[in-house]
Amino acid sequence: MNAAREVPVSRTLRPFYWSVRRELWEHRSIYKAPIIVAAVALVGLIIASASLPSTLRRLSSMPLDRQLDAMSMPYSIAALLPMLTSIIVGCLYCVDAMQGERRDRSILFWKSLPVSDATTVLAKVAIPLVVLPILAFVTGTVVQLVLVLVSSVVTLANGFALSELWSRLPWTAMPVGFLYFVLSMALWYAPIYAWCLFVSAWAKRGAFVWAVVPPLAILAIGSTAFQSSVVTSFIKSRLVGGFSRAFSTRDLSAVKLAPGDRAGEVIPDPTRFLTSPELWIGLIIAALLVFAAIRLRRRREPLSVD
Amino acid sequence: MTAMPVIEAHGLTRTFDKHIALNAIDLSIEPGRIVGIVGPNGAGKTTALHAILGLTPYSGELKVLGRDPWAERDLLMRDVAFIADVAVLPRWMRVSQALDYLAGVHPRFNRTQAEAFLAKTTIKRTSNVAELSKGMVTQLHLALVMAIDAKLLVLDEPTLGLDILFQKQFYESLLHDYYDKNRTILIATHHVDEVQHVLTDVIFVDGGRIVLSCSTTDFESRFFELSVRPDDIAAARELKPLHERHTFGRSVLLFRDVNAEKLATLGELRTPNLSDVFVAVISNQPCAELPSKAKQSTKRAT
Repeated sequence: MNAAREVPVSRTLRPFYWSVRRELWEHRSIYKAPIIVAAVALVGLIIASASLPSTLRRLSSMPLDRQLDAMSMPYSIAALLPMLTSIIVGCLYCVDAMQGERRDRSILFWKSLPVSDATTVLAKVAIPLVVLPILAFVTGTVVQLVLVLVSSVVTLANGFALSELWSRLPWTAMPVGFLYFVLSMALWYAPIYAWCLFVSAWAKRGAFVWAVVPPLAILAIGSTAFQSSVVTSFIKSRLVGGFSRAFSTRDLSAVKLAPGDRAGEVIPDPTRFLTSPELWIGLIIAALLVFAAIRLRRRREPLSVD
Repeated sequence: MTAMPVIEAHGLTRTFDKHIALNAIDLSIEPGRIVGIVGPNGAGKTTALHAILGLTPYSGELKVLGRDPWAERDLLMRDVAFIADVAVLPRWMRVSQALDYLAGVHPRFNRTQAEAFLAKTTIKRTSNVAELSKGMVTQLHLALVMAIDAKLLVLDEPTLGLDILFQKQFYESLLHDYYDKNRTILIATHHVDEVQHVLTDVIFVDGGRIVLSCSTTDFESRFFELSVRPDDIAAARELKPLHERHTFGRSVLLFRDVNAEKLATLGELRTPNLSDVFVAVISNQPCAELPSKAKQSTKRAT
């Protein structure tokens, strides 16, 4: 036994990586939910592709932008559903992430290991900010690729040329826009995730209620008081304003125009997004909340079962 | 070369609102000892362990392996292993995941050794903690912890809820497979008799204070239990026993720091159980008693 002990154990330790892995072991809905939603979406879209031949027949009578809209619609749905799922899963995960380990007393096990509170909490932050966006992008893209394949078969089987379909698909705009969408929304919703995580670290019970009721109450009071305060408008714009800050509607009077650019098209606008003060105020608030969650975890002990 | 104490505390205090859980404790534990912290529920055992492990803030001075536990918990835990009570391993975790995780984060975890310990049990690598019996969960936790080359092992009620067979096995593996002169083991429990035979030192705590601290060898030369012959009872009582009880019609008196040869003339002399001394020492502590009991005892005294 002693001989075995003297063997030097040399290997690279990756506490952060393994802390993220542990979150995925514990919360399997993180990857299950987007995959299930993507699978359901795929089935629905494949069924809907039965109407593809009739759409292809009508295309020639439509203006070009309507043609492109009609053809890219299923792909937008394939992107949007896993994306929305990942946001919901991210919030639910964060609400439980720091209370769960106290409820089942496992915090005493985690804290008995040489992993700092900062590493643990940042690994939890990485789930909604890194893991879930990547998963949403990957599952959505897989659905889109399968859809291209199915649509191509349907197109060929109905006697159309493949180019009828392929020339109208958003080959680069879709993946680029999708990836940008996923990343920009992760940054935009960062303070919401951080708020949920902070409440989860702070509340002794009913973290979900504590996370949801105060912001809703502020909104309700704000709307009855006829004038919206800074706080109510912040919460409102945080909940629904992300998309309009990350994307712009293409203005044809704008400088650079490429062939095929259409008026009214919604396009990524990273310059506007990254220079918007709301984004940075949100990120600062998120950082403060995460810092507070780290400090809270240091003092946290198991919740008494009573 | 004198070894640096593994744990050194001066005036260690922890208060919760108005309740004093630890009341200015002084403590020094040398390497290579197996120390039992024994006390009734609510005596401050767990609070003391949590302070030592950096899990709870405190006032006063505390150094564990030369570190300040509250400021450096994550660094300290490279050299300290801890088994709380049986229920802290996360129930969703697979045995294989526990091994993966520890191998990934702990510089002194020897996976091969943990696998060897597990091979002696019936625990399957694919099982969830939730699927294991209480005894198996403890075996698993012990296998994980014993594969950590720690300088200090802290056990808080480690055999709570285990049957006698598992209790015996637990302490046997601890002594045979783990303990050596370079390691220190700290065991908090209120089951005194269960740990008596494994300890080198014992610390009685009550009401947030240390009421007795001595090595088990000192214990044998300081505490005596005398089964007094009925005729000699008055003479024995004059020697101020710590405690008196009656069994099978004879008085059994407990003495501390009294000449053994003198006692031997009054009846049968033996080394008392830790639990008997524990009861005697605790019930002689005025601060240990509940307010209502304290009143009664003052009445009796007057």
